[in-house]
Amino acid sequence: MNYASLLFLGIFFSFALSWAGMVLLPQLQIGRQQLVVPHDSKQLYPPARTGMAEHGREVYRSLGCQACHTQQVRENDAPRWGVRHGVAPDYLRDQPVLIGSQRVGPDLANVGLRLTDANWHLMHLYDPQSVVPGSSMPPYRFLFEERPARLTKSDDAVSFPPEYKLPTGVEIVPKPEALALVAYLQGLRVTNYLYEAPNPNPPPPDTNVPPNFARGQELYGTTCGACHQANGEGLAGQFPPLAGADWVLAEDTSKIIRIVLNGLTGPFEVNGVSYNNTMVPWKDVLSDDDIAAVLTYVRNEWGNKASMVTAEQVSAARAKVQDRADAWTAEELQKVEPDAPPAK
Amino acid sequence: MTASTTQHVQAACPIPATAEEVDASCRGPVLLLFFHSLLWLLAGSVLSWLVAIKMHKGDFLADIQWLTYGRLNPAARAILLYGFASQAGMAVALWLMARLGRTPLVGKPSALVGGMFWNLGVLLGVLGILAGDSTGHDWFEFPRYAAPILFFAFLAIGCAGMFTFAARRECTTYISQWLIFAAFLVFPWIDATANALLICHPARGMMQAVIAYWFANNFLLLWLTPLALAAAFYLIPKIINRPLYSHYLAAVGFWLLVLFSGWGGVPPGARLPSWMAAVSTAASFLVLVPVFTAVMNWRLTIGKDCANVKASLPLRFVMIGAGAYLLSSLLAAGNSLPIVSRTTEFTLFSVGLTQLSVYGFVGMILFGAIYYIVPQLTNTDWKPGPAKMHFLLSVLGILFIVIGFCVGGVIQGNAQNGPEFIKSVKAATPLIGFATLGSLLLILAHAALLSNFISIMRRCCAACCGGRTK
Repeated sequence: MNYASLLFLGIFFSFALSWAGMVLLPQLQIGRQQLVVPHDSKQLYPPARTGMAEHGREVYRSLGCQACHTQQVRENDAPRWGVRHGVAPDYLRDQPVLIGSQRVGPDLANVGLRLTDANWHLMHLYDPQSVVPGSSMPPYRFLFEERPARLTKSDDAVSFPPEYKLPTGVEIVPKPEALALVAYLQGLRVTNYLYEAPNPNPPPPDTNVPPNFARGQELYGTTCGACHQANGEGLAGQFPPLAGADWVLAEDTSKIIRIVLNGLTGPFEVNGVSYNNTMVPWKDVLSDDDIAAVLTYVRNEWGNKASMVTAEQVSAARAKVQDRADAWTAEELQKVEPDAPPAK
Repeated sequence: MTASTTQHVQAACPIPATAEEVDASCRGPVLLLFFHSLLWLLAGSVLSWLVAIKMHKGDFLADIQWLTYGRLNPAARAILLYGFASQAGMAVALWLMARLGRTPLVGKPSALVGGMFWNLGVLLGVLGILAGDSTGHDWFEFPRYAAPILFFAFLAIGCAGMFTFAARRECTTYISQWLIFAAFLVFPWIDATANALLICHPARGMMQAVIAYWFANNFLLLWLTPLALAAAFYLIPKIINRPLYSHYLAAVGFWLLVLFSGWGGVPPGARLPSWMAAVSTAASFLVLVPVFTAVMNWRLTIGKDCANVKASLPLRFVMIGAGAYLLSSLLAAGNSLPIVSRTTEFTLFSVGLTQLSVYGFVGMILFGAIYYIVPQLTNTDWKPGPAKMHFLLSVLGILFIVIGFCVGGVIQGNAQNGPEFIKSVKAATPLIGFATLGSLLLILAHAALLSNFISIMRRCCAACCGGRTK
C-alpha cells in the first residue's frame, strides 16, 4: 500500500477544509461586499478619497504607521475612538487594508473627526512632543525641509506657536509627502451608520410622523420608486420629481388623489418644467388605505412637509370619479373642485 | 528507533545508505542554509535591539528614513521569520528526510540553487521594507518583487525534500517525515494564496485582513511548528537512545494538528463577522490537544532519564523549546478569548507571544538541531565555551523579552482601556527596558553561535584540504 499518497490525501483534505472555511467562505460573505448608500446619507459609503489622500495612504503604508496605530474600533472602543464600532464595509476603499495590530499610539480610524487642523498635524509630524507632551512617537523631520527664513512667514511653512524654539533663521516647509499624509489623516472618519453598525443612541422617534407614513414608504418602494426614484427626484425629462413638487405639496389633495386613481397624461408641468408622459392608473391595484398611505408618504419625505391624506378623502374622490376610465389631463385637473377640507 | 514503529513494512526494500553517505550528500545544502540562517539571525537581532531602543527613545536615529520605527520593526520580524526560522527549519528538514529515509539527498543542485534564491528573496524583501515598499500586511510584508522569489526558491528546496522522501530506502516512515511532508505541502499553499490574493489580485477590503490573519496563523502553526516538532521528535529519542514512547499517540497528535491548526488566527476584536473569530477561538483550544500529546510523548520517552538531558546541549535546547511550545500554546488559547483579548489584543503582549512561539519554541528546537547536526556533517565538534554561552544568553534573553513584553502588554492594555490613553504610552516602559536588555543578550548569544559555526567550518576545511580553503 502506498503510504505517502494516503498521507498526501489526508493532509490535503484537512487543509483544504480549513482553506474553504477560513478563506473561501469569508470571500463569499464579505469579499464581494459593495458600496452602499446608508439611510442617513445620499452618497455611496465609504466615500472616495481625493488623489492627495490616496497618495497619503501610500505614505502611511510606506512609513509603517500601522506598526503603532490601529484603525479598528472594537465594540468596547466606542465611543472613545469613534461614534460607532467599525465593520467590514468601512474598509472597502482601502487598498491595502492598513488595520494595524499595535495600539502604541491612538487609534486613527476617526482621527479626521478629532483633529481637523492641518497645521496641528504638521507640527505633530515634525515634533510630536510639541503638541502632545509625553508622546513616544518619533519625529518625522525628513518629511519637511528647512528653508532660510524670510521677513514674513511663507504661506506654505508650518506655523509654530511663538514659544516653540525653532533653529534660528529657518522656517519649516512640509514636503508633498507630509501634506498628502495629513490629507489622508484628515479624511479618516466614520460618521454614517450602517445596517451592520447601527446608531447606539438612535434619536427619539419623531412623534409628528403620520400613522400611515411607514406603510406608504413600503408601498412607494414597490409601486412608485421605479419611475419617481427612491430619492423622489424622478428622472430628468421623463418622470417628474415628487420632492418639492408643487402638485404634491398643494394643500388641496383632490388633484393628486385623482392622479393616482386614474393616472395622468401629458403634456403637464411640474415646478415649471414640462413633461410629456403618461402615468398609469392605480385605482384597481391600490385600496383607499394604500393610496392614502403612499400620498402621505410622498408629502412627508425628502424634505416635503404637508398634511396627511386619509382613506376617507380617497374614498370620497373614488366615489366621484367612479365612471371615469381615462387618464386625467392637466387641464381637466385644474377644474376639479376640492373634495373636502384637508385633514388636520 | 524506526525498528519499533508500528507502521506498515513493505517487502523488498532497497539497501539503505549509510549515515556517512547520507551526510556527504546533505553537507553542501544544509551547511549553506545553516550558515545563512545564522547570519540573518545575528542581523535580525541587531535590528530588534534598535527597535527596542526606539521604543524608549523615539528620537533615536529618527532622521534616517530607512530606519524609521515602522520599517525597522517589520524588517526585524521578517528576518527572524524568513531569514532564520524558515531557512534553518528547511535545512533541518532536508537532513531529516535523508537520514530517516536512509537515502542520499535527491536534488542536491535544486536545494543549493533554491537556498541561494531564498536568501536573495529575503535580502530584497528586507531592503524593500526598509525602502518603504512593505505590503502593509503583518507577516507578509515583503514587496511584490521579493515575495514571489521566496515562493519559487521554496519550490526548489521543497522538491529536493519531497523527492528525497519519495526515494526513501527505509520503508517504515517516522512521525518526523510526516510533519515535514505536511509543512512542505502547506507552505506553498499559503504562500501562493497570499501572493495571489494580497499582491497579484488583491481581495477587497477586510478580506485582505482575513487572508493575512490566515497566512500568519498557518505560517506559525503549519509551517514553522511542524518543522520544529519534526526535529524534536527525532532528537529526543535519538539522543537519549530510547524508542519514542508511543508512535500511535504521535500519529493521533499529527492528524489533530493538521485538522485544527488551519482554523485559527482571527482575533476576537477583528472587524469581521463574529463567527470567524469564534471559530478561531475554538481552534486555538482544540490545538491544545495535539500540543499536549506531543509534549506528553516526549516526557514519557525521557522518563526518569534526566541525566542524559542535562548532559546533552542539543537536548537542553529542545527541552526549553518544548516548554515554550506548551506555554505559548496555552497563552495563545487564553489570548483568543474575547475577555482577555479586549485588554491584550493591541498591546506588546501579542509581540511577546510571537517571540515566545517563534524564538522560544521554534528557534530553540532549531538551535538544538543545529548543535546536533553540524558536528555530524563536519566531523568537527563545537567549542564548548561559546556553545554554553549561547545557551545561557539565549535562554536568559528570550526570558527577559517574553516577561518584559507579556507583563508590559497587560499593563499597557489596562492603561489603554483606562480613562487617559496617553498613560498607556509610558505605562510599560520599565518592562520594555527588561526586553531591551534581553535583546542585547540575544545579540551576544547569536554572535557566539555564529563565531562558533565559522570556527567549525574553518577546522573542517582545514582537516579536509590541509589548511587550504580550496
